[in-house]
Amino acid sequence: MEPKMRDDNAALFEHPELRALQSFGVTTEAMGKFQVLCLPENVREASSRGELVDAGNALDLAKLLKEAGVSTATSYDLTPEAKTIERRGGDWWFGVVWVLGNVALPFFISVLANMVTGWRESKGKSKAPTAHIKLRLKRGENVVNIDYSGDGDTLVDVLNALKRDRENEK
Amino acid sequence: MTEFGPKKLVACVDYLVNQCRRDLKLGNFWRARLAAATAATHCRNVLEQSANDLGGDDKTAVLLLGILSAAHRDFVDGYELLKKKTLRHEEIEQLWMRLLDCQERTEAVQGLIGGPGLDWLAVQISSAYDYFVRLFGAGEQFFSPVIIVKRESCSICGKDLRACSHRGGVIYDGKRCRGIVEEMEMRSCDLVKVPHDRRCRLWPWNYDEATGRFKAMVFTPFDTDDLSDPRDR
Repeated sequence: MEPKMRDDNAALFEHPELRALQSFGVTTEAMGKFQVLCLPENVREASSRGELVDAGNALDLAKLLKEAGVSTATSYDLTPEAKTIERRGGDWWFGVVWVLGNVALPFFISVLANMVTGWRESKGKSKAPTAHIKLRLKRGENVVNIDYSGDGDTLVDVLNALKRDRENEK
Repeated sequence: MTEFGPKKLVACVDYLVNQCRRDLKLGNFWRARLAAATAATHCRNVLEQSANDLGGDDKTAVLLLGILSAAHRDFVDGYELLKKKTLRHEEIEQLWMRLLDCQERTEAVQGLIGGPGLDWLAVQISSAYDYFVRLFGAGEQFFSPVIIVKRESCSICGKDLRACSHRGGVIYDGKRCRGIVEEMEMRSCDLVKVPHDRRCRLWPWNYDEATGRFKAMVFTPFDTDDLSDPRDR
């Protein structure tokens, strides 16, 4: 899959999170190289690059996406000074995730669904973890903002419904 | 060791489990533990001393066998405690630890190796866990530290964990990938219902009424592929 920087991304880069990223010196060209951006969870609130913190599970998600062939940026690619916050609770913390490439969405859903299924298969009896994610999906020139804290299954269902909507729109 | 293929691995596991099961049925905990602990130690020695003579798949096979042997050892330890008529507080905590150790090791190898031996252990640990939960509950509150990791390297390649392709928990040529924290600061310690490590459980007797303080674990050094014997630590 070849990531493409298109003109309609210009409006997206006005989003406060991506503007904040630009204020830390990350260019729109650098962002546009990737289909998915796994950003520090406090990208809007941090006042310097040194204050940025990645969510604990963002790296796992990014590596799984890369294995699936999706070009994915982590803080290492954009703001390497970021630290990682590990909340040693059982929840999943994914931070801020931007899905810029439309073709990346099915891969993203599939990776997330595999994580949920894999967890359930290995830890069947334990209480399911809560997934925390600020998901930004590109829809034409607009952005769909999903700030989600809940079970992984419902998140996958919501994303699948969004994917179906998009397919019906075509 | 170069002929150590999946078939031989499963045969070893079955032999170990059968011996363990026989000895457990006879109430011979000492022998059952000895078999499992010896197998775990042997695997650890092979990985430490003969690693250069083995191919990547063989190393992975030995590590999996070692994890499974250690799971048996944990199970025997837990089962022995579970059979006691009365348990002191420390023994209850110890029993909880061993059950979780066994459960997590069994989960770590499930899907990677199979065989009736592993199935038997999975059923046994599940029923032992359920029995424990009926007696003492599954835990309501657990300590969960919040840590800011400033630098973390990969245990496989040594690079910044964010820069390499290795994933935590995955076995590469007999080594399980994990992040080695090089610089960190502890931000806080939360009380949660769903913890990362259920060993950090808050027991009623951890509370000291005189001082109003809890005395319980925040971290544990447990790692599924640490094959060393807890009795030697």
